[in-house]
Amino acid sequence: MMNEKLEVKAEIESLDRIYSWIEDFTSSLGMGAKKTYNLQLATSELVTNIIMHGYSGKPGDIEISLAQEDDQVKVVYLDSAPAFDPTTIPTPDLTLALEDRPIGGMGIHLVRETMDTFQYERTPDGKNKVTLIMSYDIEGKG
Amino acid sequence: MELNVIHHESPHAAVIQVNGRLDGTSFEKLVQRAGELFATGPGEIILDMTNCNFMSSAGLMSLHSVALIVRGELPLNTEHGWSAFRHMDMDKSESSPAKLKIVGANDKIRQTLEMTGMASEFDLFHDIDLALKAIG
Repeated sequence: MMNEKLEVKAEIESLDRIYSWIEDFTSSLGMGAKKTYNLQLATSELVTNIIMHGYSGKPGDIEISLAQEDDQVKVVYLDSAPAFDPTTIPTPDLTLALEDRPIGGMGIHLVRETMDTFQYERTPDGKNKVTLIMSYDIEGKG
Repeated sequence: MELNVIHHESPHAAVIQVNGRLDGTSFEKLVQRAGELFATGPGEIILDMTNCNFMSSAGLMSLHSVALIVRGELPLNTEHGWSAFRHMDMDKSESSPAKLKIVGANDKIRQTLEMTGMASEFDLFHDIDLALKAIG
C-alpha cells in the first residue's frame, strides 16, 4: 500500500507539477502508460475546474492525495472553494456536430469515462471533497 | 507547449506544430495563433500533433475553436479568455463545412476524440504528406 499527498496553489501553472507527481507515483507502482495518462487526464480536468470555476481565478489551495491498495488507485481532491458537486453535471450530447455544440463542457464527461468511481461530498469543515477510484493491472499491462 | 508554424506554398497551407501538452495552460495560445494565421490570408491551416503528448478537454476546446476559426465561424478575439469560450454563440452553416485536418494524433489523443464523439468532426492523417495531398 502506498500513500502520497501534494498541496498546490490553485493556479493553472500547478498542472505541470501535478502531472510529474502522478507519473512518479504510478511509475513506482509499475502502472502502464494508458492508465497513468487517464489518471493525469482526470486530474487535469478536476484541478482545472477547481481553479477556473471553483476559485474563479482567486487565490486558493488544492490538496491531492494518491493511495494505492491492491489493484486500485484512489485519488482525493480537497479545496475550499464554494460548494460545488461536479458529479451532478449532466452528460453532454455527444452526437452534435461541431457547429451545433457548445465549446467546452467535456471535462467531467472525460472523468466519468476514464475512472471507475467518481464521488463528491462536502466535508464538515466546509471543503469540497472529490474522490476518484481507478483499477489497474498490477502486472503493468494497463 | 511550444508552437511552430511551417508555411507551404504548394498547396498553400500553414502547418501549426503542437509540441508538448495541450491543456488549461496552453489552449488559448493555440487558438490565438490559428486566428492570427487565418487573418493573414488564404490557405489551409493544418494542425500537426505528432509531438503533442497530452490533451485535456481544454485542448479539445482549442481544436473545436480552431476548426470553427478556419470555417470563419468564430470571432478571433480571445482577449476575454476562458469565459469568452464558454459563452460564445456560433453561427450555423448551411452547407457541410470543411473539416480541420489534424496530423499525427497519438492513441491517447484519438481516445479523447472518440470518447467525446468528436473524432468524426476532424480529418485525421498519419503524416503531413497525406494531409497536404488531400488539399490537392
